[in-house]
Amino acid sequence: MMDGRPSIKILLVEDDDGHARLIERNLRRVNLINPIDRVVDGQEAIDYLTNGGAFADRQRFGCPKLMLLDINLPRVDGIEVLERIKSDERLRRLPIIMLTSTDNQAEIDRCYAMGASGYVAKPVNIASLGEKLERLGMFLEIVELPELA
Amino acid sequence: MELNAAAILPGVDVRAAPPPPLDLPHAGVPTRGSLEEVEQVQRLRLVSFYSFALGAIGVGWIVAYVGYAALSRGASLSLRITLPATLLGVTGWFAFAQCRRGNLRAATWINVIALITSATINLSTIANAEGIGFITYCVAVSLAAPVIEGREWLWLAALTSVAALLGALLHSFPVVTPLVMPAPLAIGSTLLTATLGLGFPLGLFWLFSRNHHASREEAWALARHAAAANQRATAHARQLERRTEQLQAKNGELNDLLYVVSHDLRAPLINLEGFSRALEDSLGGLKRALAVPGAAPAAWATLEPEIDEALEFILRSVGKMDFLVRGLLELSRIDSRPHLAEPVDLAQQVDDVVASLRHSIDTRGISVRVDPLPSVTGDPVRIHQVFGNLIDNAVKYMRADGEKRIHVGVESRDGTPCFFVRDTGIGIRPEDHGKVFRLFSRVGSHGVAGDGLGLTAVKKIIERQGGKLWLESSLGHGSTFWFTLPADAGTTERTVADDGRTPLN
Repeated sequence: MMDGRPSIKILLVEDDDGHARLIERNLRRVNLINPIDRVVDGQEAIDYLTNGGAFADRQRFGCPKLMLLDINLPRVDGIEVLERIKSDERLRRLPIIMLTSTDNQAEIDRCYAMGASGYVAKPVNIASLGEKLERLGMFLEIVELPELA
Repeated sequence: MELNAAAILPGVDVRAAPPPPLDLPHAGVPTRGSLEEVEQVQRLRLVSFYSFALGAIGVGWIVAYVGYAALSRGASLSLRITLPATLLGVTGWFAFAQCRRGNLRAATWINVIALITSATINLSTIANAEGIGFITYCVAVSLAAPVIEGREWLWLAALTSVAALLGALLHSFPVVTPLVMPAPLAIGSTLLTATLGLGFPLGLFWLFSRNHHASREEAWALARHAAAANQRATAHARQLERRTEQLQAKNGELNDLLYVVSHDLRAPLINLEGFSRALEDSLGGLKRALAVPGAAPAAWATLEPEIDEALEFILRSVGKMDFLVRGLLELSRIDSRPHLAEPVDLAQQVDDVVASLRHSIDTRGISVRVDPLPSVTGDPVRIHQVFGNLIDNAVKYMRADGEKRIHVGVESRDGTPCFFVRDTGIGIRPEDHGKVFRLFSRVGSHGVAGDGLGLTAVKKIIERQGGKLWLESSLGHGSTFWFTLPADAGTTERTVADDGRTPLN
């Protein structure tokens, strides 16, 4: 928001501190300068997007333009978060990249069927994640996104 | 990649091939209907043999008689012999043919009528002896009638009486010139004919009924034997079905466990790999800086925090992994170690648990109420673990304000003592009830230290002891964990304090 244009904020939903740090480090290494906010479980992710609970401050917790969502999360798991976002009229266009520690094909298919924009298996492959973000970035520029929330 | 039991135990996949539904034919004792079929076949065989014999006797008789007449040159053929012999010869074969077609009733009647007719013709021509012959014949048949089963023989008696009348008429108005025999010979001949005509079938029937009786007994014995074998097979199959179900449940449990383990053990591995690579990169940078004179201190200043961070995460991940593996080992011990069955004083166990948690209970200001608890038979260490985990959870997940209470007690439901640990804690959403028992799953874990192992272990212990564990809870309304111990654990009411409760706080 510094130059008047809303910057593309990324919301990282990841319960493991190490994983979150690795992802952040790797994103920085591919010269990604977008602000990254992190929450640690599915309930927080939903609160963040709906400005509920501890995330009521709309200025600070504005809606992100991209979400990196771990599947295995405490409280509300990633699949449920994905389901809730995709069934919410206001949030459904938010691009979501799923993160998982396994490469279970059934799970991948399920996530795509539910509307995930991408899927990255941890250990997070920098090239793969970078490439996915680049593609999404282009996509984000071409398609004018409706204002979320 | 999803791990499953088949990947670990090749060739053993109880899920892939469910057993076909149990459907054994003739699972009960066979009905009399099937035995009657056997009887019918035996009767048919007997009558066809009898018909064959009659036919043979008839043919043999006439051949012998004609041969005798030819040999004695010029002896005239008597109708007294030729008629009945021919009749028997023809009807015997005819009856036999009926038997071959399965026409048992027709064959029997043909034989009976042919016998009576030939005997009547034969006897009617004997002067002086007919009275005795007929009377003997009629009396014998009438006496035999009630002995032999079946309505045909009653008819036979009636027919014989008619035949006797007919014989008497024929005697009064003889068709052929009566051959006069000496009285003793005539009586002998009559008796012989009557005996043959009646005795032969009677003998056969006696033999048959004896065989029949024996085979009937044997058939019943076999049937009972088969039914018993069938019942045993059914019981075995049921047992097999139950075992398959148990195996399937175990397999499912194993699958879940493997899924959880693959996910949770990979998490620290990912950190280990990621931060090792980061460390590698940092050290590479440091090495390059060392090659340039004077660049090292500046490089070290930027790289040091990165290296420290990487090392910290690596050590933390190793610790986490160690913790998970220990947890798994602990869980596997529940299954691998034998469970004792000795008297356990539950009240004492709960007192011990509460005493060990006394510090946390007091600092949080929680009041604990323990109802009188019975003694049970079980493994004291395991039961201690159950109460320990449940009460520890109740303390850990107690809400910060409002009433803070933990209640341990027992209620009888349908005669089964159901133990409970009730708290006024933060509670669990109903949709998460299934998750709380899952290994390493920590549903409401926010800000609470725990390993995600306690409830999994509790469930495993309870189920291992043959009991059940369930949960009543909703978010914000506290939780009640219920469990049963098996009925044969022999719960006995412990003598309790006078006021019926043991206040602890």
